[in-house]
Amino acid sequence: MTIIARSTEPVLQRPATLTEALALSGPGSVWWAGGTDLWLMIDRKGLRPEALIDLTHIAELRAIQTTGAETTLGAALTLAELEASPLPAVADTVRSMCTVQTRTLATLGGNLCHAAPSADLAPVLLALGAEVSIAGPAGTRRIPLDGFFTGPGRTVLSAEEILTAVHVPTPQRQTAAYTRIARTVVDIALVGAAASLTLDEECHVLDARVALCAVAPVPLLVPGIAEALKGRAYDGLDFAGCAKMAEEACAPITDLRASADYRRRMAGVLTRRALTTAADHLRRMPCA
Amino acid sequence: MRLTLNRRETELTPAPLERLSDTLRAQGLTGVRVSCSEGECGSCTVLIDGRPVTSCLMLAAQAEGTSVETIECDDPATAALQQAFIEEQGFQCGFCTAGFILTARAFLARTPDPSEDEVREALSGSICRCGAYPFITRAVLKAAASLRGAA
Ligand SMILES: Cc1cc2nc3c(=O)[nH]c(=O)nc-3n(C[C@H](O)[C@H](O)[C@H](O)COP(=O)(O)OP(=O)(O)OC[C@H]3O[C@@H](n4cnc5c(N)ncnc54)[C@H](O)[C@@H]3O)c2cc1C
Ligand code: FES
Ligand code: FES
Repeated sequence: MTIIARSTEPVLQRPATLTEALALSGPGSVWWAGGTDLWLMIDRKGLRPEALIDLTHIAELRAIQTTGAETTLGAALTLAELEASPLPAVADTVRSMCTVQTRTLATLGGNLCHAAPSADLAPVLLALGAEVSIAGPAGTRRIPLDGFFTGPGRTVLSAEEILTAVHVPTPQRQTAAYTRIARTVVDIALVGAAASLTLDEECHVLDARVALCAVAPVPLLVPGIAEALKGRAYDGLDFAGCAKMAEEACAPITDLRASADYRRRMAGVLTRRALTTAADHLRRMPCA
Repeated sequence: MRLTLNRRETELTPAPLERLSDTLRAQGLTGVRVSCSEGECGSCTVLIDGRPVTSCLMLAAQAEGTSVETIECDDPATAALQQAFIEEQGFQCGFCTAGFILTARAFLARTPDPSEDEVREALSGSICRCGAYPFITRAVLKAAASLRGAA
């Protein structure tokens, strides 16, 4: 039995609204979403929560909303629910993560807030130019996802704050793709890269982004990609320069999964693959 | 907490930091096999509202109000899979079998006529230490055919 002996056992609270959830937060309380990362924190990192606050019954945290300009994903959506999200690159990414049985539990917000350098949803959302909404005792704020992560396991969130939603802009003529290297579906990414390409009406590159995971303390956007590709005709683009920029942007470590040198080289390889896949998707999208 | 356990209204009082797998086993539902306790192997899989979940990673208290089904639950699709696993010898020691069958049941409910590759992908969250994979895949395809015939 894995019951943790303690004098005052934490109780699971189940708020139905954001306001209730924020009011329940206190010293030693943790936000509980899927719990798939939290169990490891409890089993291996000595986390001993005083109170558990379940975020999965707050309706607005489980909604998907699409307006003309963006799609908003509630932070407590499960990965299984995101498999059917209207954002194809996000749905594809989710299918490459975890296992079928953990995707039922694991959430979008948990993946971002746990802030593992290898978290798979970070690169694709960074490449799509996502922003996040945060609610706390002092009100709400909306910030770019680039800037949300502050270190391994660390974000800009304070303990009393909740990540409520991820906003993904949905410009016309944009495609994106994520690709990763991992031993199996169960394993975390050794290296991951996502790319997005946006075309203007003449089928020239208007915007482009590449983001990487597992090659630095935080998921990162590679600087300079948009400038390198802007204005070029999308057919026959050469991504060698972008691959080089990705290699230069990363600051990988050596660990039991891979060496720093391997990670750096694969960051380049995967950057090229992700950009190539995004360009292939564009081919199926007629220019206006 | 109240929940529907194997299609019966049930009241349980799990400890606050108890895993659903432990709660279910304490109810005598020992078809819930715990091996890795980390979500990696799938042997503890149960169905929550019809979806497969590694119950070792689920806080028991979060099952409140849901419908939980284990391998012990009487169900025609489970029975068809069990029969096919016997006929195709989809196991050696059988430790992983309940997890595979429940995962396959949820999968076949959505994908009644799958390809072999789809079966493999759907079952990729379960590990069989005896390496019965080819037989498991065959058993699932056979069960799918028999369920389509029955429908
Ligand atoms: C078998 C297995 C395989 C895995 N494979 C992968 C993989 O391939 N790729 C990958 O990226 N990850 C993987 N993971 C890690 C994990 O499943 C994901 O990171 C998952 O998305 C975490 O979500 P959760 O809801 O379970 O988080 P939880 O464990 O509930 O929470 C994680 C952290 O985030 C905080 N939190 C959660 N939601 C919020 C919120 N809305 N606001 C503020 N704080 C919040 C929690 O307090 C906690 O600190 C795997 C895990 C397992 C067990
Ligand atoms: S025991 Fe739950 S997945 Fe292995
Ligand atoms: S039959 Fe032995 S683990 Fe699968």
